[in-house]
Amino acid sequence: MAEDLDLKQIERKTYMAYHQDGLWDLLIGLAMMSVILDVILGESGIYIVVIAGAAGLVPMLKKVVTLPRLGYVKFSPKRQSREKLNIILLTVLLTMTALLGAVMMSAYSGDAGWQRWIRDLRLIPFGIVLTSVAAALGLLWGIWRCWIYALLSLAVFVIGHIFEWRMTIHFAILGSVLFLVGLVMLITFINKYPKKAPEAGNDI
Amino acid sequence: MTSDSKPRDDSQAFPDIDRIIHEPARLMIVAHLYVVTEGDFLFLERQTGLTRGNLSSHLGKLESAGYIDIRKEFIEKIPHTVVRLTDTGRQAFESYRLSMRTVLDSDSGSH
Repeated sequence: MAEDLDLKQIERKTYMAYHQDGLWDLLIGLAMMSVILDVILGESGIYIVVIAGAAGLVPMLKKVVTLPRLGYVKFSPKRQSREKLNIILLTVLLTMTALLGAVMMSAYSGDAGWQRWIRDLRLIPFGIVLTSVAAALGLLWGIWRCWIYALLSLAVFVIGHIFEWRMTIHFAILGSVLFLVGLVMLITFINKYPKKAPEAGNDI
Repeated sequence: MTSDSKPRDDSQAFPDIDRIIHEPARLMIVAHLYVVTEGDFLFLERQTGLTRGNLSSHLGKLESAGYIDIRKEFIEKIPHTVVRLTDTGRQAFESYRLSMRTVLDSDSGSH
């Protein structure tokens, strides 16, 4: 029915309005670029700190940047349940990514058949995982640009494999793109929704 | 074709349409509140595109009709006017949608 479709569109449009600030893109881009720093500093693990910090920073930035511009909203219980499920699925995916990273690292410490095979693949498994995570985000959150990120990730890792790029190049490219996209989105968002004067308290 | 040529009284043709909700600005407000649990004044301002004065006026009418509940509270030391549809308001909106569907379906049947 047209009425049902319109309400779905209204709900979706309302929900998506709170995801056009570019904050996640900006911070994930920064986190990816921090992998380069980690390699330069001799695998100090600093990127883990940056990723954890970025993840914690987003909710705070949402309060400071997004909410004062779009206002407070409590979405429906259905939407909230879906959000929780999405976060659980994302956590599972990221955990699997971390485990894959550990497996790949262990491939460089031995000479078993499977370890040689993983070494031959170089960074392709990372590319597949990153592509899958981006595609999953696109599917779960309905954010179309995640599909673009998925394709970009796949392209970068395939080209990187062909030209035998170092890991830092992959993450520099992907991180820079995400960071720039996030920055452009944030600037556009701030211009589109300037902060309004706080309520006088006698609006109604 | 009718033989009597009495001019049609539109208010009689649509007796079941809730005129509180039927007004376009209020319909937009109610539709946005229907799809969320609650939202504040700024949220409604942004989503509907109405000016502050206009929004205030329409919210006042909806509150008088018992369709919305308004409360003022502080969220992190900043005053917010939080609005939500009452159960009456939700039922009224659902009835309104049903009425409109009936009217539009019956109108299309006459052609």
